[in-house]
Amino acid sequence: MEQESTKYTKLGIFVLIGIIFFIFILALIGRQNNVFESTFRIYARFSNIEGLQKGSNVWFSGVKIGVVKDVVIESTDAVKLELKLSDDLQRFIKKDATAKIGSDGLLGNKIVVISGGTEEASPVAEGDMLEASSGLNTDDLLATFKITNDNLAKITDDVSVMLTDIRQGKGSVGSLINDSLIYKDLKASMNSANLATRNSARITQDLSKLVNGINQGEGMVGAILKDTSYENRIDHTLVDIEKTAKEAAVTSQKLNEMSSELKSLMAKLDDPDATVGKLLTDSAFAQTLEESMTNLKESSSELDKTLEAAQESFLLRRRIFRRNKEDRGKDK
Amino acid sequence: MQNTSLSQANPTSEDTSKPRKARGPKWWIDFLVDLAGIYLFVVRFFKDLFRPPYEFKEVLNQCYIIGYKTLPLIAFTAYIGGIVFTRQSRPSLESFGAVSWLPSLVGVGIIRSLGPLIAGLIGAGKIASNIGAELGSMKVTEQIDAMEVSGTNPFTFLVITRVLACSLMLPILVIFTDILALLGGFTNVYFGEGVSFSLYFSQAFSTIEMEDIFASTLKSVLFGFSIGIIGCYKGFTSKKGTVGVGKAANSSVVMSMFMVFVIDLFTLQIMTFIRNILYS
Repeated sequence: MEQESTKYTKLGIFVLIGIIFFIFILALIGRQNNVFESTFRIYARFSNIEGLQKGSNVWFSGVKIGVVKDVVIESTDAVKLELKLSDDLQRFIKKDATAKIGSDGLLGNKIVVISGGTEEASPVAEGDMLEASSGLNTDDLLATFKITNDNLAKITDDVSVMLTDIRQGKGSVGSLINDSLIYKDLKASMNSANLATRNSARITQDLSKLVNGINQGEGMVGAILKDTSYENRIDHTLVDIEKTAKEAAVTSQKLNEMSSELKSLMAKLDDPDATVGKLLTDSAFAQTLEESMTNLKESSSELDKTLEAAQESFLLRRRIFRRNKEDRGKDK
Repeated sequence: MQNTSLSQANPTSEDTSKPRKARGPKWWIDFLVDLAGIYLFVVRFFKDLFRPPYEFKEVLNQCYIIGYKTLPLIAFTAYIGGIVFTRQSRPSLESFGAVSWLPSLVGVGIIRSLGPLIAGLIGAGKIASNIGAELGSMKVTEQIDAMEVSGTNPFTFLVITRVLACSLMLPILVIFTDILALLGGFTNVYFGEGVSFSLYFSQAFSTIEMEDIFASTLKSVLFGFSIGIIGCYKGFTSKKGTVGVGKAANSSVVMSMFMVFVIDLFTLQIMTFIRNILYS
């Protein structure tokens, strides 16, 4: 038989631990619901609270700061929420902060999310009304999903038709896949491309060798680039070229002058009053000249005849014979 | 005087020995007689509760037996129950990628329903059978009659003390059950997902509200009261002989367990009604 005092002590400990556990549970729940904290109340008005209830959580920067204390329907499109928030955090929530309805996960409960607010703005006061912003509504999300699904269905149909066409050999891709001739052409093209690539590789290799040779001073280009003695020669050549260029410039100037003189000469030739101009342009003068020439020709012919007669005369025969003989002797 | 009052509260103890002329099946008649007897028992309990003499010492003695002595069994059951409940809930949450919600689910399940139910059922099994058998054997060995003869009110000394102790200890046992079942759940979640102790308890109580604790406490008081009343009634009304004692113990357990579920449903309806009033 246990002594009564021991029994009662054990009972006392049992009850005490039970009460401590009870207080622990109450404290945990109280902390979750801000029961034992000093709080303040602000309001937010929404057109649609998407199933939010009394007791739903209020988050600020991802931290739970309070609960929805009351939900009041004010009119057909206005629902006022009373938010009970922890007093310690009042200074962080500014008057220009916004409230929106969110969710604490994809399948989570609805929550009120307070965000924004500038440092310059003053903190909210008891009874203030926060500006409500529309967040991502589940209905909107589902509507977007529906549009996306419809588009996806259309795309799937198109792809199905396209694949059928390709399988039937229609279009460029269908021909490419199904036509063996195109395949052969493609293969030949690929072979050519391979060959071209090999050639390119060889050319590149040759170019590399050439550049190496030039770098090592081989050949004329290499010598020019690498041999320092060429430098003086090139300098001289450049000086000569410069000199030649200067002379060419002088010559060009002279040619210009000559050209202008020629131009003035030509102008004189074109002048009908000048003798040469008249010779070139005056047809009456040309006719006179032609007649004179004709006369001269006739006179010359007459003179030839006269000379032939003179050569046959005894007075000049001897003299002419002697001159011919001297000419032949000179030729020999 | 004592004898008269006891027979009024306990009509079946004397009257049922006489041949009855009631119509209908026997179990139905027995049920109605039991119902009436329990009703009168409850009425007498509240009548005598505030009437001296007050048996404080016996109340403490019964608290020790009912509370402290029952704790190991309830604690062990609650811890295992917590582990099993968490383990069985995981696949359902895993199927839609919500394992992180396991502490919340376990918290709601245990605080609102599982904790009081485990404590109630284990209490019904251990306490009601104990009271039924104890009072039944006192009845058949005529100790109760001897108490009356010696000037002690057996109802005050035996019934009120036990019912009071049950009503006081069950809420404390429920708190122990809740905490230990949550610890069982934590054991499973810790080895499953590596969730820390503080995060687990924070999440477990994130969806619990004060009304839940109120409902749980109310439920546990009613469980304790019904277990005490039924155990005492069955012991007081047991028939002569050892068979009667065994039957009293057995029917105490069966009826207490049944009443635990009835009260569970009853408090659920009351709490739904209260919530509707609070949130409307």
